[in-house]
Amino acid sequence: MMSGDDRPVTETDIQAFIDGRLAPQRAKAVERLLEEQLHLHADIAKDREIANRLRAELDPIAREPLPYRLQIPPAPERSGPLRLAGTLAAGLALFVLGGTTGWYAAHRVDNVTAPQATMALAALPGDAAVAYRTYAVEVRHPVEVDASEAAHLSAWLSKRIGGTVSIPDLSKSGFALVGGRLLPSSAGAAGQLMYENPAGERVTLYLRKEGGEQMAFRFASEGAVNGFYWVGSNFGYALSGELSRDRLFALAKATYNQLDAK
Amino acid sequence: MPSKPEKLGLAASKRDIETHIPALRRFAYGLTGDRDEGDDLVQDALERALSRWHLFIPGRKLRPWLFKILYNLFVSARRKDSRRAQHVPLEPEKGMPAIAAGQEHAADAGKMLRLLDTLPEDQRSTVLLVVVEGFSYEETARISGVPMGTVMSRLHRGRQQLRTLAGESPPAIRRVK
Repeated sequence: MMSGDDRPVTETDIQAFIDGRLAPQRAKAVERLLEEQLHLHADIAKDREIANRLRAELDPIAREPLPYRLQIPPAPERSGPLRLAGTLAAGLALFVLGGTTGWYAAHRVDNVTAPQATMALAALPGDAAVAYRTYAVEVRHPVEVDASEAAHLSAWLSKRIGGTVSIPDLSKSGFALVGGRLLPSSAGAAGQLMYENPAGERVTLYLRKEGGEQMAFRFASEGAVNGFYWVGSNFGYALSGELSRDRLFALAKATYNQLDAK
Repeated sequence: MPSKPEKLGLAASKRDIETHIPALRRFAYGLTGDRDEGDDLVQDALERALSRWHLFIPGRKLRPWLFKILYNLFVSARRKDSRRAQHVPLEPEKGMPAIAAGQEHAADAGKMLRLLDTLPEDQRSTVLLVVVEGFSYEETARISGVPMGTVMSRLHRGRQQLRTLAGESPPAIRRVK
């Protein structure tokens, strides 16, 4: 208690006092000093007012929406940091180079050059998780096309996404098809198939065209939503749900086995 | 920096970069006094941060790292561009319409920024880092690449200067005991 107060007040103390960062006992020492030194007191009041005004003048820019060129495309949790950096850099570079052509590039995934493929793939688990969060909570309109029209759903999605969309049967794992919908995505049209078990837990299978190589399972987690994603012969897929990693993995394997291991 | 457990951590880091972009813009605008120039700086900093992601030490704070990148870019750009060594005053009509609109005292809108812009760059950046961005003095020293004593003296001189300039037109201080 005493030790701190004995030392003379320093210029550093004054600065920290202005910034409200001085330990209470040192602050008391400064306050005692200010009672004698009125000019210092006035200066500090002024400094604080200037600080407040400066913050008030600069803060609005931090609340503005980010311009396109400062957006980072979503990327997955893939392998090491190097890979991730490459992915993000490639994605950002596209926006940087393109500005407006970024949109165009993102829509040309079947014509892929490597970085474009990487970017689209990088966005896959995040986009899938967003779609899951949006629709899995829907009570009345979780899907556009109901499971009773599964054949129509399959044909419609195939046509819109471009490629044969087959609907996996997860009933052996306790999940019944609810239905599906078409979604816009950064990489063209995407489809979402929704499944539900008797406990009301839902998982979605998100799919869209992905350029590039086939890719084995990868795991991604966005908040409470876990996902496994992979690239098969036709599409990139992401199975998302608020299930444990193990349960979701079992479902992902079942899905994969029906789609691409035929 | 290999395989499994980091995966989730990396996801957080990526999101963290995004969450710092607004503050980076604010800092860059304060440094340059120009919105476009500020955003250029942020864009360069983001590219550099992403391309050097492997240099980021996991467990360290991301925010000072990003600010250091941006600050270094700012300093080296100013060094290269000799015209910039000449002080370029903030142009209110170009730089700040959106900001001015939100101000209570229309006449005073952006005044502090204009005053700030008259400070030497090292003082300006120090004031911004400490006062606006809320970095500790140690962090500010690391970001600026100078000892903490230098930070304190820049802060002191910067504040002194602002106080003097602010007092020149309308005196703001009435409420001294």
